[in-house]
Amino acid sequence: MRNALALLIVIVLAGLMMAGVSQLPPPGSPDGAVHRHVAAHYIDGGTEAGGAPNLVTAVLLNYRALDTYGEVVVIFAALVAVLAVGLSGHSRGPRRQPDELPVSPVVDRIIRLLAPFIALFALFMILEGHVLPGGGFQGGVVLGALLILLSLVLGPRRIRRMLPTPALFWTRAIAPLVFALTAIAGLALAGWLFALPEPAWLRELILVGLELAIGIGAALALVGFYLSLEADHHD
Amino acid sequence: MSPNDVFDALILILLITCALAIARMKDLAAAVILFSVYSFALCLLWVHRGAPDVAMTEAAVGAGITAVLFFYTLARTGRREK
Amino acid sequence: MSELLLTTFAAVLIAAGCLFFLAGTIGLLRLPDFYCRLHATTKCDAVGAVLILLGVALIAGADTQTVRIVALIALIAISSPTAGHALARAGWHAGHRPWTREENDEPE
Repeated sequence: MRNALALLIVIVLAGLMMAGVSQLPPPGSPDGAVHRHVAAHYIDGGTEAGGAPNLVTAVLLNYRALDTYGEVVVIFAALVAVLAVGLSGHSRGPRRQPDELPVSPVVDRIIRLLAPFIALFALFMILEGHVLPGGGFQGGVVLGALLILLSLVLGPRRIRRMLPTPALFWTRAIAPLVFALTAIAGLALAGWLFALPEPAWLRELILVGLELAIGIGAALALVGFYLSLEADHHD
Repeated sequence: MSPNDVFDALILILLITCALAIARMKDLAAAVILFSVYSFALCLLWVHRGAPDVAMTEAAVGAGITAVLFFYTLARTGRREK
Repeated sequence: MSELLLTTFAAVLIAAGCLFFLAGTIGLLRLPDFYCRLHATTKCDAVGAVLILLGVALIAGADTQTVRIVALIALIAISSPTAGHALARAGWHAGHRPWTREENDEPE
């Protein structure tokens, strides 16, 4: 009975979706409204108006800045929720030392050799994100992956010491904060939210600042998820 | 069909196979590994379709960090689906 | 003529790399225990991928692409054996013991 009901719901929903999709213009068709108006406008004037040679970044940080702001807030809220559930191991007194496997000298040496290159790549992706493929979120994720890798190899205590709690309090929130500041600065200097003010160097500075904030926010969010899970696992 | 379309079709078949296998898998660790495979295949598709920005995120988040987080969750909950 | 020779050589390298991937995958599916399978699959990355990349580098010729490919080869040559080592070590400490024919135990 329940299966029949579920099947019925699935068929009805699928039918509705199919009906909706069949009304869409064929994908990739140059005559679609999206391609004739919005996309053409972006491609024609995106690099000048958006202030970034990489069109993806121009759309992400300028035309669709409000959407990106929402995404940043969602990631930050997820981190806050994870931390609020009480998985963070900071407040539980001395943690029991797990009988850890000592780090293999080979792995230790190789990670130490590769870590600077990975960090350099992450920084490059963040800072050059408005020119080349890549950007704040991508670079931040690579940075977060590097920190998780180091924590897997060197032990999470070392990483916790690298990220002291008082500084974390504000740096975790850096991405939404910087976005809000940019929005207000755009309103004050050029007249609307997220407007990029005129001189080219200021525009580029703001873009790089946004990318850096997104990168740090993403990296800290991912490391935060990992560390809170890890702390609970060993307790 | 051009060779590009054939490549896309192969990747899409791989994606569907992976998704079905993940849904049917009783061993959750294997499901997580298959999810990584899914992410890497999707990453290939992004690159092939000219979206390197998305591909980078997919490779780092989908295949890398998500798997680590899933494995830690499995260590806390249990490996087999009840 | 030398163009043809170069392309042929690159094709041979890529084919050899694919062969290593095939052998590694068959080994992963057919060999009896964790260590044997690891032994087979680490060759995929360490040898197969490096051979394929060398072939691609030959086709690309003297170009900025080649520098990137060489950097990739260096990265794979360093990281892939390390990953294999870490896996084998973790397997040993998790209690896997190598399969032997004498004990005739069930392959896992």
